[in-house]
Amino acid sequence: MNNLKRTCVAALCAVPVLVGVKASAHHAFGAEFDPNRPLILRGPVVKIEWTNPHAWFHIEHTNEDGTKTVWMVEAGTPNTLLRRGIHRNSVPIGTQVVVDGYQSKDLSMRANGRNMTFANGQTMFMGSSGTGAPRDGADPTEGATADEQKKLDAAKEADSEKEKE
Amino acid sequence: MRTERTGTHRPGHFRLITWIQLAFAVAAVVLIVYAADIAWGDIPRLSDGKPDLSGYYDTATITPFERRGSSEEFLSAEQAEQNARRTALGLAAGSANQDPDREAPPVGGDGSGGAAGNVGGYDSFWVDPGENNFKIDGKYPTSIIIDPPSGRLPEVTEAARERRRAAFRLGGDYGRRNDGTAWWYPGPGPYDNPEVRPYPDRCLSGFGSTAGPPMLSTLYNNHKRIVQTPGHVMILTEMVHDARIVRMNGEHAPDDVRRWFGDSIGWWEDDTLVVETTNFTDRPNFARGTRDMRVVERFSRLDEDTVLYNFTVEDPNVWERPFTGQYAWQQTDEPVYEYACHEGNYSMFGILGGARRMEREAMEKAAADSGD
Repeated sequence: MNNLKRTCVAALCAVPVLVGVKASAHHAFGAEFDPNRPLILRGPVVKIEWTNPHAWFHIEHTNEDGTKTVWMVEAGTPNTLLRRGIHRNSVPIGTQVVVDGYQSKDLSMRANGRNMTFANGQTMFMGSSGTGAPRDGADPTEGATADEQKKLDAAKEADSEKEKE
Repeated sequence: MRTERTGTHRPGHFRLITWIQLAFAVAAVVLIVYAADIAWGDIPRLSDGKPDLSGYYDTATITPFERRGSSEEFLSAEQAEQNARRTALGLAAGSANQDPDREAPPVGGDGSGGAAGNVGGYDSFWVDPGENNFKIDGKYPTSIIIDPPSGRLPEVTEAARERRRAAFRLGGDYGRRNDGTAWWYPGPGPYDNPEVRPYPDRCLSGFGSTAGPPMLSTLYNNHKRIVQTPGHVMILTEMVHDARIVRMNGEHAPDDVRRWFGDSIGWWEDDTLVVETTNFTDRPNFARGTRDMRVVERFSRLDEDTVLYNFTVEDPNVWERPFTGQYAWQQTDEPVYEYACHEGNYSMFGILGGARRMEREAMEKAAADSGD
């Protein structure tokens, strides 16, 4: 049972920027995470929750003043991860990871983990593309592929239609 | 079979003619069983003779709901293969190695659009929307919709158009305007309570009409499980563990009884399971429809690994005529994992907690400003 107790700390009020999004789809990242609070986390994985629909990686980050804070970062579904070659024993506790993302708007120790890799930058994806060559010159931090974007748009449209009714 | 008895019966010794008759009898039985097997095919069946649809299925497909661009009805095998390769490439590229010494992303957002909402989110690590186009009878349809023949939804009624225009005029997130109560909120709507969030955020039902009906392929969690008994068929959707119960040869609930997934009754037409669903609420999973929608689904086995899922939707409040779609569900060894949605719903905390924080900051700022 989640027992988070949040204490809202007075801080600079950040205005969320919903870029070109009239209606947000599932998870509404723009509603949950703060684009004005970017972060980069480096540290060992101290806990993993293998849950459906999202696995949660708990990472112990060392702050600038030497103190340590444990952050939670969201990942894919068990079946999705399995297809990427990641199962519950793939990432042993203590594995060093690097995560860049944005902090939750409620200032809790949660981030959206837009890019989670091992400490050497190697992706956690261990599946094979089966084709050999990656996309030349592609920026891996770009948005979704064309097919994924179609799905995102369809989900967004379906939710916006629902909410309009 | 008539047994000839002539002359004296010698105990313990079969006559030749009896052996021949026996041989023919055995051959006849073998032929009958063989013929029956050909007639029934290699489709698994229950003891009552009905096709067995039970099993786990992966319903993900990259084939779009509506036909896009070209008016071709089918892809060539080469195009289908190219699509699969492109999807695999995209997956690899989206999961490419990163700079280990990278810095935090930029303040103000990373510019990502769609559901990623400027902070990034759904990259390859997350999504499982399908790896290839589905195939039926050796062909690759270019859309799930097959009727109208254009592969696109039918014309929308004028009444429906007016409703959408009215909702659009409200503007903002989900058509909800900031009514002034949350004066501090710069966005379109105050996040004052969970009920302003969509069903998936509340762990009530999945998005993308994944449970429907009709049931569509979506961003992830595309697994389904069918459990079939003579009296009921249960269809479990992985996302938010939505479970539809079909009452075989039943009658619909009264008109004033409305159900989240509608009210489903089923019956067999030869080897096809037909499911009719009515009695929807005002917010059906298939969001374009209304409470008066009627969905007829047809489940049949293409072979022991594939179920053909066909559906017809009619809603006189929305479309000028019914439309039909279909796609293939592939049997899978991957299970439907338990769906601990509420237990892991940290997103709701972040969304509502974030709104409360912004409200507090705005109030403190207003108090400080008025004190100047």
